[in-house]
Amino acid sequence: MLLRRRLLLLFVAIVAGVVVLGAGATVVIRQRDDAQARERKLSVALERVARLQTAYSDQETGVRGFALTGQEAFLQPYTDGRTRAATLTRQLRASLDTEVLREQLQRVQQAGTSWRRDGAEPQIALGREGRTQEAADAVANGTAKASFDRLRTRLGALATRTQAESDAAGRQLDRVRNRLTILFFAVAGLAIVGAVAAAFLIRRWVTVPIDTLSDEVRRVRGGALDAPIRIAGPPELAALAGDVDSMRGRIRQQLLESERSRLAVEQSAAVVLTLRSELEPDVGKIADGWTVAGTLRAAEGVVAGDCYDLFVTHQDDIALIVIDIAGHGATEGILALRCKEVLRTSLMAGAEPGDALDATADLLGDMGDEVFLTAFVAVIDTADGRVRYANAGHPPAMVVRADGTSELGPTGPLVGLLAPGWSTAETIIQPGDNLCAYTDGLTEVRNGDNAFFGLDRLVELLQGSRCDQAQAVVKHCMDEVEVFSPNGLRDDATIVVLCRTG
Amino acid sequence: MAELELESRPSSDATIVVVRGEIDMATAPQVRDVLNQLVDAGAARIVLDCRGLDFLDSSGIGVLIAVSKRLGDDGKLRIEAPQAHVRKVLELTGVIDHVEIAP
Repeated sequence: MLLRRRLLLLFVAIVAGVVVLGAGATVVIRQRDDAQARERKLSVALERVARLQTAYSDQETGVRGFALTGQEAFLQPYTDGRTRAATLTRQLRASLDTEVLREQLQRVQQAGTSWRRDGAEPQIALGREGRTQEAADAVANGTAKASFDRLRTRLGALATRTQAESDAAGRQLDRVRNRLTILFFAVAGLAIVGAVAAAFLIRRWVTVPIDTLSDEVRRVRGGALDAPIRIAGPPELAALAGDVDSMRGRIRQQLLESERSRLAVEQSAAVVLTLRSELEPDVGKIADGWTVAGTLRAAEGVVAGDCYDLFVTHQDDIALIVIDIAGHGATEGILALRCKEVLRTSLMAGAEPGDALDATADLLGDMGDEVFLTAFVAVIDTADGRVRYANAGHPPAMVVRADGTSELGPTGPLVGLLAPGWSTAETIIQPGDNLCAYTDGLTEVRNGDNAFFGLDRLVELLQGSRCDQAQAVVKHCMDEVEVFSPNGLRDDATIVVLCRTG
Repeated sequence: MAELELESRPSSDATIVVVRGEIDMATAPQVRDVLNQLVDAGAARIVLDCRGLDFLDSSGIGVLIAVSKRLGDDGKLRIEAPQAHVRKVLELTGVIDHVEIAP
């Protein structure tokens, strides 16, 4: 059942309970008020009955006194008594509320009338006529006395009965008061039970499911995306949990997808690397007196855009290619390889380095906008050490000699995007000289203080490590780069070294 | 992490873009977006104030060349006051022949 309906029912139950108890309390309170009123009325009646008795008694005394003395003064109590009796009787008739009591009052009244007729009036008449002796006899005589005794008895009965009723009314009042007390305790008890039940139900329907949901959400936030979120509870909260679970599912899905993409990049990197190594056949037989070596270190998490090649041409020259294509990714990596292959083919066939670059420009031209690369291409005649080279917007290659270093700078702009056309320049490598070509990923490596490795440091390094083993120079340089920036490379770094020994 | 600030303001005959920081692989896209927006909005002459440009690599070069091509023969891209090493990169790659550079 829906939570809102449950809460509504709970609310209705509480309100109904309050209404019922309220109605009950109202009834019992009215009962108490009635009982109280009756008890009061009866105690007033009781007091009136006592005064009625006195009223009649005064009458009787007055009559007797007048009868025996003939003095008018004695009639006063009689007349007063009559008046009082009449008033009291009238009052009692109004306040005595049971059949029995009213009947008894009736009988008292009748007895009173009888006595007046049979006893009081005749005696007064005798007394008036001065026949006191006869009056005295009449007083002592049975009829009047019997009549008055009957009156007295009936008065006594009335009094007793009234007392009994008054006591009963008192007991009734006590009973009702008890009832009221019990009722109040019941209300209090039910209120407590109701509150406890409400608290319990709300805890079960609302608090616990929400806490469970919070825990589940927190668990997901902590990274546990695989377990579904489910809670037991009313439909609204279950629906909420369901929605949160859908969200979890979506987050997980997106994470899996991005993980897949990342793996794809790694795999394409592997593909490119495999391609690269597949496309690197033997360097070939290098003439004596020369050593060559090269290495490429890719930047973190990307497919390298650098590429290099070292091989022996059909003319027995050593060819050296370093390419730096802008951008990273499988497309750029493969394009770099294709450019390298184009250059290789051209150089193999004996083309001048500058002309070989034209073929590369054509290839890039087909690729459309925003693809460009820089390249250093050199062909070294191992017989005389003559170097023919072309540099397309690439950082200058260095020739490191005993007496200094010279730069082999650009012989044309970068390839692609700009007007093609590269000239071929020349230099000589003497025995003991080293030739080093590299990409800007090497010189632009930064250390922890954001300082560049720089060309000067590279030159110093090359001068310091100048020898006849190209591999040693390459290793030394890369070790220094590693030391300089232990945290890795921002861009691919390539270095290729050629040494002439003899 | 490289940081880059770009601030553009129009002047009498061109839009001036002040560059502060570094243009590398990470920040080049930001430069591309800003310059492309200016070209789309109709700017024919764009001046890059490079006094505060500390670093420029091949990604930045690519953006400059692309924008230069977009501006076409009627438009002009001008690099103003590049620092020494930035100027060197522009010279090295031959970009200096296709883009106006004012010291």
